[in-house]
Amino acid sequence: MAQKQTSAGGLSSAKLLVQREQEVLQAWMEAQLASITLRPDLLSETALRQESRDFLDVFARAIVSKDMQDLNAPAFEPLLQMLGNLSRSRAVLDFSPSETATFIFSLKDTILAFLQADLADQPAALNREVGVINQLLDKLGLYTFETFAQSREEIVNAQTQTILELSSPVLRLWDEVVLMPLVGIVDTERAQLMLDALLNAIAEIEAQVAIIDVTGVPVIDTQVAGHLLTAAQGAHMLGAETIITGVSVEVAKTLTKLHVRLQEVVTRSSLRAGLRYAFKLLGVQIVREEEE
Amino acid sequence: MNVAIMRLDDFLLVPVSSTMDDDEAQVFYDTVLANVKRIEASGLLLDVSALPVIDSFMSRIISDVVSSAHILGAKCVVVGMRPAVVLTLLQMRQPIAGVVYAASLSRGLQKLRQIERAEGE
Amino acid sequence: MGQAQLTLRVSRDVIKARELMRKMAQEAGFGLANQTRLATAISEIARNAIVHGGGGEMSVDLAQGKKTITVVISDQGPGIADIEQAMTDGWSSTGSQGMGLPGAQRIVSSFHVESSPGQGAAVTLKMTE
Repeated sequence: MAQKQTSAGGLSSAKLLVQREQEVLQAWMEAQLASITLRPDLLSETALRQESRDFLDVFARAIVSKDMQDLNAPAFEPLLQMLGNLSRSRAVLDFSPSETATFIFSLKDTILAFLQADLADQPAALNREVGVINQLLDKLGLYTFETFAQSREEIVNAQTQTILELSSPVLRLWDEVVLMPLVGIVDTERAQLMLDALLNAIAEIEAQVAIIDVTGVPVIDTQVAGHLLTAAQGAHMLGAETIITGVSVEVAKTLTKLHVRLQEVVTRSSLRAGLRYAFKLLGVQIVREEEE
Repeated sequence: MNVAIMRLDDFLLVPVSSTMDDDEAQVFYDTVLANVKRIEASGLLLDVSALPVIDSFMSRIISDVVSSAHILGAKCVVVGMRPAVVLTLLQMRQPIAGVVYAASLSRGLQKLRQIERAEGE
Repeated sequence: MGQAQLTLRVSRDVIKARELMRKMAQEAGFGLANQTRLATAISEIARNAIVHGGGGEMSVDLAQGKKTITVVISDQGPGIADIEQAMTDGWSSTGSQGMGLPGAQRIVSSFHVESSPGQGAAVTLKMTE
């Protein structure tokens, strides 16, 4: 008896969508257009209507299946795929999570309104239908949310990667001097990438001096000091001497406390002091012009 | 195997070939030292720019050549290490220590001359 | 070129192995840094197989997605009595630099040695771009 009830639930909704698709679509569009979460600046009404129509098609076909509660059922695959793509594209367009979820929840409200009208005189059947639709669409709403969150994370990761790459470019400071300003946290993976960039830059211009400025590095512990020493070793193997600049008082105290002696490498507290030292190494003199 | 050694006044310029295998490396070592002795070279430029890979064996050869040549009176500069090779040696924790390096031949020559001047020769 | 085999017998074969790896890694779209790491690691292991293992076989496999190269170098030599010791720097049985294993391990994505006295040795390493 229970089995029958479950399979009976949802059939009315399925029939509704198949027979009165246009009406449902229209009502759903009205609900979406009236909602405060509408973003006409990001998505045109025409595009939204197309998306909604496509979704209703796939949705109608999916809920004809016997089991409407199991989203893992093969019948739901095309629906989930469409929903996934939709929320991904919303994430890229910079929609907010609730703006994205409105798509599903406004559909739920629309269908429920139709059901309530149609089954007003059959409370038991109405109950069943409402139960099924509520559960199904809530699950779909959650799925939309999850896919959205995941897409957002992927976007942020990609952006972080770009920022990291841009934040430590190697610059040619002088004829034979390269400068790498380090910004942010230096983990093992990033250290390798930066070392690669530094070594290539030194080799390319045959630099005699490599200046690594650490003003923008918040934490310099034994590990980071190790990376700096490795960088100096690498620069040495390409004929360049390394100067670490931008060492703060805090950093000096920390390294002292950790018994890290940066003996093999020259360090200076400012880029200016480092540059001065570099010029001395290169035998370069800066002479101020005489004032008339 | 032919070891192509070029002479520039009292300096020797020796390129290391990428096709040199372990057996040939021994011949290489002996040949270079013989030449250092023969012309009483004061400087040796070891050019490794043709090497896409330097493993622990080659590191040892380079280190030995530099060491022995130095004892024979020739200051050495290893020139032309490729950045990817340096990166790999560092990551293996096998940097070749106690050696003077330069990015190119001209830089290497500059360094040799600097070293000579510093020693007042 | 998804697979390759190479017999390692004489010192010339170390160079062949190295070049084969570099080319495969390059064709698979690996960056220069990883090409160099892979070729260097293979150079070390191949030499071991020839010098200490009496010669061996190298087999290479490039994964479907082209992002991982797996190499197995095996020999039928005397085997490594103490793998742990061999994996520490500076250890050597013949007075040479050391077997190059620890260095090789540091530059690849994964590294596995299987060996016991009299059973030869097999080194499996993977490089993922």
